[in-house]
Amino acid sequence: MKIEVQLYSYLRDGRGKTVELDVHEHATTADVIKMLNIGDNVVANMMINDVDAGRESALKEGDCLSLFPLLTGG
Amino acid sequence: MKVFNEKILRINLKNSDVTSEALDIDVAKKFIGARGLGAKYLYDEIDPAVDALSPDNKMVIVCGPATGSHMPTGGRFMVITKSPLTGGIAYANSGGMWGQAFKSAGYDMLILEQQADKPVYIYIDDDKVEIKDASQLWGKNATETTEALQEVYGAKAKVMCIGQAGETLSRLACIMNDIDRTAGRGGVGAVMGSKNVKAIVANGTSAFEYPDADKAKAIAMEKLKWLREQPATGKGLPSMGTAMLVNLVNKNGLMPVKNWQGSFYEKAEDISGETLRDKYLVKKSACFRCPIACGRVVKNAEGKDIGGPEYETVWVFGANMDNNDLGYINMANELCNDYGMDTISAGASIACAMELYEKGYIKDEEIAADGLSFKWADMESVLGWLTKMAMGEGFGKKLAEGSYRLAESYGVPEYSMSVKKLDMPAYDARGMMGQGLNYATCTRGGCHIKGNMNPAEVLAPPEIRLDRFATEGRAKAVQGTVNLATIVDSLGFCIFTRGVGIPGYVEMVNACYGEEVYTPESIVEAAERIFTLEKLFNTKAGLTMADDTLPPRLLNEPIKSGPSEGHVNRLYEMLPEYYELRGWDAEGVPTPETLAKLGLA
Repeated sequence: MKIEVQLYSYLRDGRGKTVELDVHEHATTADVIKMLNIGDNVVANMMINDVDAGRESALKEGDCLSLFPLLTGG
Repeated sequence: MKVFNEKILRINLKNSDVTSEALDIDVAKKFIGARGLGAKYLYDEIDPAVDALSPDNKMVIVCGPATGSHMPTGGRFMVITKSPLTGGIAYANSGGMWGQAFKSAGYDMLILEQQADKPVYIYIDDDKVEIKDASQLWGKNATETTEALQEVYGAKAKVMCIGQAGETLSRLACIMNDIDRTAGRGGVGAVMGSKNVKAIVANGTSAFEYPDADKAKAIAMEKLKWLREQPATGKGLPSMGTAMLVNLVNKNGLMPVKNWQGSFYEKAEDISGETLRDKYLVKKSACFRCPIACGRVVKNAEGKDIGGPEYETVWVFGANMDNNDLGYINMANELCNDYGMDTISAGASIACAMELYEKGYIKDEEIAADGLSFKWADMESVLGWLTKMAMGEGFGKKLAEGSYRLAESYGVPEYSMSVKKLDMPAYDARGMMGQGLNYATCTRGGCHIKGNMNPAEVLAPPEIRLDRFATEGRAKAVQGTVNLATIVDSLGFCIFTRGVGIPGYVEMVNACYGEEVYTPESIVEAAERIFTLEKLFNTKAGLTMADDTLPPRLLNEPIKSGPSEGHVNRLYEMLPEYYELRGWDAEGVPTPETLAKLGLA
């Protein structure tokens, strides 16, 4: 199934702002993070269709997954 | 130079009397340094009810035990005074190089008393201290002032100064150092202006001495390495600066839009840290001993390298006035830095005026002579207003008093998005319960940085993130975060090192002392002491529980759309518990028992 991944901050480096991916049925956020070669514990905030999600959240066809690394500042 | 030089420089500006006196090291340890030590001296030496812009107010500039050391980010200092904006205590932290230069000249603290008869600047060169005529500098902006003084004294001399906003006594005026670093909030620049002090030049030559230098430097290297390895301080902040928060805060429905009427900005990507990097960033910059380098350098209209905007600045001149042109934000930032105005409060004051205009309170005829508008996103007008604010001209004079006094003059103070008249930063506390409690109770007013709940309520990984809409247990969490920030401010570190935690800070400061001065428990108790002393100052200045609140919009108007839709801040579910945890009574006044316990009686 196809999903869209929106990347933020330095996760865009070498990957771009938005990535379209073909993932298997029942793929999770963690699976997508692995497919994009993002290291363990780099991603701290993840949202599916703008709703907070976790690493084990399951994706479905057409979902938009947003990934943010651990940020600080202000 | 060492952990404390045990020397205070005191200058009476009225009679040009310059004296130095011994610092009581036991008092310094009890109040840690910088913010805590400055609060102690201010509290002991002035009547908190004094007019902040009168000769009887004092300005205390003070370093921490880590200032000037090898510990990462150990270069910071604080400016403590009575705030002309809030009427309570002001404590403004700054980085750059000035703090290290001042401490290496052999002092821990500078106390400015009374007012000079005419504009002066102060030149400190190790033991030599001179009060010099500043008539040629008066009227110059911060960049011009710094360049003029460094032309005379060389680039090694570090310059702290006010711009025109400080001279015209704007309650939003800040103190600039190293051109684009800022002791920003609470109108401290107006106090310096009221004393007729244009600049303080510091040149010091001593190096930091440790009882056990090998051990101290090994600890410094270990912490430096750790900070470089963390994703946020090793990669996020260096590559994107603080504006990297824009997209995430917005995605959570926490980005105030059009003076907090909305909480989600459709065009956030245009003003994000990512866009700032891709379109404008020339290079990054770092304060003294900082491995993070979150500072941005961009080009101005003349092609000169200047300091770029922080997250708060991007928001206040962006989403908060419906502007998605980052180029204009860079220009507004440059003007604020040059004029010496707090970007948050300057932008918030204009955004408040835009809403007052939209609602019909400010009439066209009132601003016709200024030739500028208060239409949302009219950024040419915004730049014009900033100049008029700094110069105290036309309607700009009203804006320069801050959003609260502006809105109050129309009988509608509720349109000021401030706490204790200090404008709140870029996190809508309707979607972050703890942040609201922090805004309401921060002793300097509506501030995030002195107890920021954003890391715990928004930024943390989901496994450890607090439910940002829950109030249960939130008072305890806020107390811990505020204590941590109090410790960081008092030691002389940057808040972005907060990941090292209290044990890490204790390890570093003890290494500076060369003895076990603090345990994690005793340094937290010192933070409680400092925060309660600040509260005591405010109480004696006339602030009450009624000031520990939020604007009605945050308490009564639910967020209209987005991921935080339907929420208000439930402050009063948390406030009684917070007072109790602090040992304050039901009205928020420290109890005699608490004062005795903390050694403040």
